[in-house]
Amino acid sequence: MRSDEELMNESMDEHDDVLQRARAALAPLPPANPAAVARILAAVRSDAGADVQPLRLHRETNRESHRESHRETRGEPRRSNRSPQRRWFAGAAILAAAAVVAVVLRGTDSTAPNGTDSLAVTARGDAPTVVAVDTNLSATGDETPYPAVLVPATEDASMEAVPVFFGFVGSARTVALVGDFNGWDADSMPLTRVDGTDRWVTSARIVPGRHVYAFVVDGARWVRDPSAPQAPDDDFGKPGSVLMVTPQ
Amino acid sequence: MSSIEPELLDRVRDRDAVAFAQLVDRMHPRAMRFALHMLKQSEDAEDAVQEAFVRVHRYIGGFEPGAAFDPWFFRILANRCRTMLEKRKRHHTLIHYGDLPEVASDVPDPLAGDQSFRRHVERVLDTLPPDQKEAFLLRHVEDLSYEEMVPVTGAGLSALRMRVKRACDALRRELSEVSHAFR
Amino acid sequence: MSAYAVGYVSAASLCVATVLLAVALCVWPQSAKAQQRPPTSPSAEPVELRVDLNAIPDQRARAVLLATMRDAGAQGVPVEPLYGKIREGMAKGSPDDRIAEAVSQLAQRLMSAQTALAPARASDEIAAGAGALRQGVPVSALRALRAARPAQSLTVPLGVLTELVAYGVPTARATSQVRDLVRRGATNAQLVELSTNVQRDVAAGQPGARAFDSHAKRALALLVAPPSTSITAQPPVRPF
Repeated sequence: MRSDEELMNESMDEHDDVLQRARAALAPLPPANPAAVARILAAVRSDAGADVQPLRLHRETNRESHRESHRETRGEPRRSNRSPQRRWFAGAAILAAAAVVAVVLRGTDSTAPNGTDSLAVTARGDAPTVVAVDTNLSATGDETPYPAVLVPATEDASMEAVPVFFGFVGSARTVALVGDFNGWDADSMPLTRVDGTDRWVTSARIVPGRHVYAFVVDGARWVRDPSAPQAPDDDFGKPGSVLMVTPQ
Repeated sequence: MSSIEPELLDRVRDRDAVAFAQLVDRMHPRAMRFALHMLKQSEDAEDAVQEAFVRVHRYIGGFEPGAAFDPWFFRILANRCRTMLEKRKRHHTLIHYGDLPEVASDVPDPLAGDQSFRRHVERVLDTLPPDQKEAFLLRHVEDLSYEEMVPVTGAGLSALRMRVKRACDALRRELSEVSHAFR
Repeated sequence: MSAYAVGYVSAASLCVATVLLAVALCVWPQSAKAQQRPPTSPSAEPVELRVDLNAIPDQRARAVLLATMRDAGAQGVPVEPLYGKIREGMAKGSPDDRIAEAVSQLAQRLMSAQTALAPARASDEIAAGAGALRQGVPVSALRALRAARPAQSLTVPLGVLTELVAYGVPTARATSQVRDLVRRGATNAQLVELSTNVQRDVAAGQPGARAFDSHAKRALALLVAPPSTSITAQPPVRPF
């Protein structure tokens, strides 16, 4: 509950023309940036992969960062001073010893794929990775398909379908995803408009390998994804892009 | 308040990678707005936002179901921004706008319009202590309530109200004289 | 439990924490896997690829298509890619005779790919082989890849090879290096990463061959050379 004083002050602020103009000046959002989003998803994937290496103990900054992160997510205030060095060594010793014990306890994992570690496979399985990222991609154009984002990627040799995230920016009444993975059926994978924006998104499960796809705008116009390689093997003269799906 | 619906957050908590991609897509513009206002450099802002999302992914399992997402997210992001500012203090000598000699007219060109007014607002904001600037942005730009700002900043309610009030006072004081010029 | 919660500790608590953390490291992969739920995104797999050839008005084109499909079926060539090609042509509003011609050419490539990739029977793998042939990869390259990976799917390596050639990497060099990578046990993810890296450099203006050489060299350096050129000397692999 807000106090009377707070409500009164805020009421005054609400009617303060200067403050209202200042708020309005600061409120505009930067334009959507699909390339930056793609980079973030790549970083998340990388973090999820790196996070499970139990002997990664040589970087104090990482551990400090982790410790800070736990405080952040628990709502604890940040500490401005670095922790004492011996605290870090104690934690490192425990983690190193635990890793050794864990290796002994786990032994050889017969379910792991060739030469891979099931710990890493599992941890990386839920992390997005990115394909076909164009760092120069601008979202301010009239039509800008997002980079297709492949999720997830692992070292598993399985050939099962993998979820892939697609996005498109542009003013349109309808946008549909078509490709060899859905029989080029413009009705089967429509994109959904993000409320109040001109951004459109969808996801699809696609089997690993090379695929060709495009977006159909307003039921008629074929638009390729400029952030992905152009498909060179089109038989019918419509634009297309190439998507390489990494197996799960 | 929360700008992300609980269903999407549930899917993110369940490690649905597509849902996480949608979450990043939705929150990215707001995150960049806050980080840009705080850090003033797009590269630093992008780094802070990226690190924040990495931590969201890492610790989303600890996010309480049904809780508002915005305070939790901005707590992480604000901490990333503070870390960036601390690094700058250690490694760079910052030149504040206030230290620079005025090269232009004291009164901005009225014809320059909103862009010029916005730059003036930002300049005043940058003269504020970081905690006041942060409190003002969270309250008046990101629309968080004071109660939601407590865990984000680690400060108490009364301290937060004071920070916002001082920021508002400074903006009023500095902008009143020039505000009419931008009409 | 969290390793970060550990601060100043006694020897006893250090031992307890060590054991608990070790158990957590052992248990975590399974629990994490158990937490994963089926993705909610729509699947591309159930899409019905069959088409009604009566939707092709041109009688001559329809006759060509019927004959092509019949021949392909008789020779054991997967017909799903052919149906896909028909649907693609129809969706793109292509003339019927152009659709018939494209499908006929694809059927030829599928037959060649199936022979080269024998004993492969998977539709997507043979279609990937046909795609590589379309890009100018010779049939001998498909045979070489099959020899290098006799019991696992080549769908991804073939797709990567197709893209590398499309980026301007000389076919012989791309084939040789991809084959070596496959023989050394490169995972599909590593192959896709190679393709992505080359594509990025090419997009930045670098010639495809040069970009490929540097990335392929790096990728090969990460893999152990096979102990013998004999295929039987390779470790057992999972059937696809």
